Amino acid sequence: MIPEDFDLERELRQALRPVEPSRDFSARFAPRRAVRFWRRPRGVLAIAASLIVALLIPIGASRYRERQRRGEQARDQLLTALRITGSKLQKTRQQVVRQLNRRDSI
Amino acid sequence: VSGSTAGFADLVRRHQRMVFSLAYHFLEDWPLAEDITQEVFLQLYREQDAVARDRFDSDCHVRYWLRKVTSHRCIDAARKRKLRPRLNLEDIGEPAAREEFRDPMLGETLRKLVAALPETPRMVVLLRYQEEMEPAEIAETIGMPLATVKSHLHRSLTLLRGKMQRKKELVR
Repeated sequence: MIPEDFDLERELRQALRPVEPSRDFSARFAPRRAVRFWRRPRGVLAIAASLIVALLIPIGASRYRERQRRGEQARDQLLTALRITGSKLQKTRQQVVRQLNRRDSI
Repeated sequence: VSGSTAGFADLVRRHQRMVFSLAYHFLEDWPLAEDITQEVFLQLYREQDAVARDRFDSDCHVRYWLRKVTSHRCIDAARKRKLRPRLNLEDIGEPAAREEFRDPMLGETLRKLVAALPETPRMVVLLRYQEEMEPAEIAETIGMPLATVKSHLHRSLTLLRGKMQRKKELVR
């Protein structure tokens, strides 16, 4: 089995000739590469961050509008209260002035 | 390294034979060799921007990068999965018949003998005789001194020659 003119280096080159992988290797490689991309931690983090931002922006905007509406409502109520208080004080002052005038005339 | 998918697919087609052969001859395990080949190309795909920055834009540089990464991945895989005990130099059987022309069993015997070498000398022998690399290129690729590469080569060839000689004498 071993030839007389056996040359180890030549036989090694012959034995270690490059071989092709399975015929469908390239075809199997492409989809796996695509799947792997989405499995990458950075890819997943980027997608998760985008989703969170997309959800938070409308929620935040809605809460901001609600707060603004409540603030305006509170301001209106305060102004009304101040107006009522102002008119009552005015009436009380007028009554006090009237009574003082009567006392002076007596 | 082309950034486009088509360019990358073309690159895979051009180099897959070399990467797979290194892994297969090193590990003697077809599915594992295909897995390693895929992992090497995935790493290239992920790092193609960095690879391009390092002037890996020519085929020569891509080949150098692929050989380097494949060598390290194969050695790691062999160490992790403890492949060395799978094949022992003493366990390799004798080819049965004497033939006048090139015996296919001779190649098989040699591949098994190479696969039974320890990891580092095995990769050195593969890069030398499969890839036809010079010892200096091998030293640069797997990151070891030139003298160590030469020593691994010399010792491996002596060992393989001795094994083959013993088989030759047994046949007579």
